[in-house]
Amino acid sequence: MSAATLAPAPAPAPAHPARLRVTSGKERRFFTAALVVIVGATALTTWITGFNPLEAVGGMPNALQFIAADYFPPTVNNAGLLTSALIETVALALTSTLIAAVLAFLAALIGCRAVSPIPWASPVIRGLATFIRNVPDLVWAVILFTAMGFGFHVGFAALTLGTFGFLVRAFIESMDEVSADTTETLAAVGANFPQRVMQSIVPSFTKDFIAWFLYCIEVSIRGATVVGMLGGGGVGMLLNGELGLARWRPRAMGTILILAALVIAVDLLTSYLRKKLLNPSATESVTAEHRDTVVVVRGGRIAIKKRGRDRAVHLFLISALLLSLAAFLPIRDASWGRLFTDIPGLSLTLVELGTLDFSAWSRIWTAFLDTMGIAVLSTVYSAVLALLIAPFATRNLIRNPVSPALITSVATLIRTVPNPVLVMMAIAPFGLGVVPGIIGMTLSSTAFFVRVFVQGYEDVPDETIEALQATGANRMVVFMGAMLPASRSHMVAWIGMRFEMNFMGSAILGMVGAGGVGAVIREAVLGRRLGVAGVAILLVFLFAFALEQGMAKIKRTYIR
Amino acid sequence: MADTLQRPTETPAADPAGADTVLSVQRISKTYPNGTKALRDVSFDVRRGEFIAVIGPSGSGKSTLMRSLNRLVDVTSGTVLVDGEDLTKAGGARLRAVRRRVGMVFQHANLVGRLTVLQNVLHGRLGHIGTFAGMFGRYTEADKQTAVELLGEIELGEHMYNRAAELSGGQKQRVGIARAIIQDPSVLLCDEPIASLDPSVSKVIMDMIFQMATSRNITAIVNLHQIDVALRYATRIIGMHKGQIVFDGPPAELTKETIELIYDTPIEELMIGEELQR
Repeated sequence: MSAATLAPAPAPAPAHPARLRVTSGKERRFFTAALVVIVGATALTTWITGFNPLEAVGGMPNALQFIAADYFPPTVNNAGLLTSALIETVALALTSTLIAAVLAFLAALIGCRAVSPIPWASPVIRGLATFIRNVPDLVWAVILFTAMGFGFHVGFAALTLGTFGFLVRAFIESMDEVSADTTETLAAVGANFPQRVMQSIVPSFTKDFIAWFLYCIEVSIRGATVVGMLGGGGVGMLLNGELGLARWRPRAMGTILILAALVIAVDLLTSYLRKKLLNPSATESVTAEHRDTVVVVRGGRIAIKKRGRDRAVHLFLISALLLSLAAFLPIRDASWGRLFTDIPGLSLTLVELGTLDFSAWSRIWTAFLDTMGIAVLSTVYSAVLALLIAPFATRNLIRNPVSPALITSVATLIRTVPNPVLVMMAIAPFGLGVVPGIIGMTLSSTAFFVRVFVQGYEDVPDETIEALQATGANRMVVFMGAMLPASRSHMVAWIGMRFEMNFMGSAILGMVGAGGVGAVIREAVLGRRLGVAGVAILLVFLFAFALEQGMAKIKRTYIR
Repeated sequence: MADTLQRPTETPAADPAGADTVLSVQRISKTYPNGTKALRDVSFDVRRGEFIAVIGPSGSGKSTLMRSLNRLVDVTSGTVLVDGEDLTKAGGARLRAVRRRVGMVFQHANLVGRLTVLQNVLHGRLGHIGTFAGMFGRYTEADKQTAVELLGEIELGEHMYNRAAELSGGQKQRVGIARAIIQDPSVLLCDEPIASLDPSVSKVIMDMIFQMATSRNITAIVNLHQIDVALRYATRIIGMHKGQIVFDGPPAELTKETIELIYDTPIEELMIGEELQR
């Protein structure tokens, strides 16, 4: 600071001296703008949907009573059927993930500009993946069921398509990150494309591949249930029948709980595998201290790697492959051949969808606004709820272990139940329309937010909390002064991401009886007015695409 | 290893111009899609055994020049002849054949971290062996023997079976050099080989590049940020400014005025050794 600025100002002091800001202007403007957008969107969608949160809260005791009377006690009296349905659903998840992962790997090789052997084709691949990804899975399912009829192979195709779209993007990003430089290097050496793939991309990419594969298994188990509800078979189809008939509802509850146990078991298994396979300290038991001056010769040939290195990883890859292949066996009523023979019929359906018919535009637009309403309101209310709940589940803030354990287990249970099932359960007490949609979506995204918010709060190091406490801060101050600011940008990112998910989720709710654009798509497809469905799908795609691009830009610009 | 605090002895008297040319760069230009003109009408010939340092400020086109010499970057116009063969027109198998005569050392070594040090050195042979052998790492015993010997030469024999990711920055760069040398190249390109290493490791790496190249009669072209390093090792210096060659000659002819021209900055503003400000 120069001497001039220290001199007393000649101008009279303003009546309200400007306050010294402790945050940067850019950050403050971003959060202000975000708040304005959120409040505005909430007001607008509340007006459109006429959703009254107080009424919904007031109706809760009644609804819980309703569910208690209807769904309890949970019953399982069809163990044989249930078991085979569960096996079919797991098999569907495994097979579709495997095939999608293999296809996505091949597509990503071409789609990743840094490694592509045909660079001009990479935008084509990425565009295709973006299109597939931004049309909700269930819309693909409905299209495929229309074109190819019902059956396991169709559910398989729908799930594979959805996972493929997701994985292509994930794989391209990973490849860009881990193998762009080494691939260039091998090109300089004179290696050709297959050699570059096997010697640079595959070894660098294995860990990311496993991480994404495990994630997709988790998602696909839930997805397979929902696709089953629409006609893919398995536990979803069973559940759909049970939820539809009042006297079977205790059985539906039994099925839901068993399904929840299965999903939790799969999540535990995948997180165990993650820890075992992806944690570097666990796999690199052989460190740089271990030295060998001797050349290892095996069978008269010089060995180029140590035996037993990466054994766990290889074991996992081989067993995953075998298990996924074996999973084709329990799927009995599938006609795999028709996946190929039905391609002409499918192309015809796609052409019909592409022949856009705007005659029902006003109805589509109204339904689309309802869907937006469900997405916006459920995201906002669940974020607010989670903000209130999460501190009580944060272990380094709350000293007693009971409330974190209780909140975490309820949240986990809710997360395991597929969203459409929650919505179907809310339809009986709240009636058809947007209200059960908003309530079901709010429940599942609250469970999601509680988990990620708690993770963010618990990431604040104990030392920081101690330092604050040493200055005399109480828990409230620690929370407001350290935990909230530390995780604020991540929370905005999570809320944005969940809004994308909720929008896609809302778009399909109509297919299980709630309002919104999904109902229009389903009706139009069943009535063979594919041009109308095409318009609705295009609208959903365009919005989802704009959202994806916008969120990516916001993340790049504002969120560190 | 030779004591290189003094300038290493010069290579034997140069052949008459054009007699033993390994690399001929003829009027190449490169304009990137975003409009950046990275190279403007660059020409020079390189004879066998030369040790060339390319100096110039960031963005002067040094890296693009390197990458045009093995066609990691496609030039917009002009030709590059490697051992008399036109690199700019080669495609497929012929491009691979030309590329394996040009070794390259990168700033960050670019090793495949999950593979062993030995596997990374053997990557240099990929251009010489069949597609399937290369895909599944079936190298010949002779290649493996050479790789083991090279690892001894760079003093990393004991790390042969370690993952490349476990090595330090300087060790990685040594492996990067071995990978380029096992290619048996006529020309060795080094793109800022010491830019991210500390001074003592930098000396080891530069000594190693110099020793490997001169003992095998390989021509080396090295991009450098440090003028003093360039003066210590090079038999010829090329100075670049805004995509053009503004100086091309022996180190003795590199004057204060030339350095100011290359860096577009008064010499007092440059962080270089006092002895250079003559």
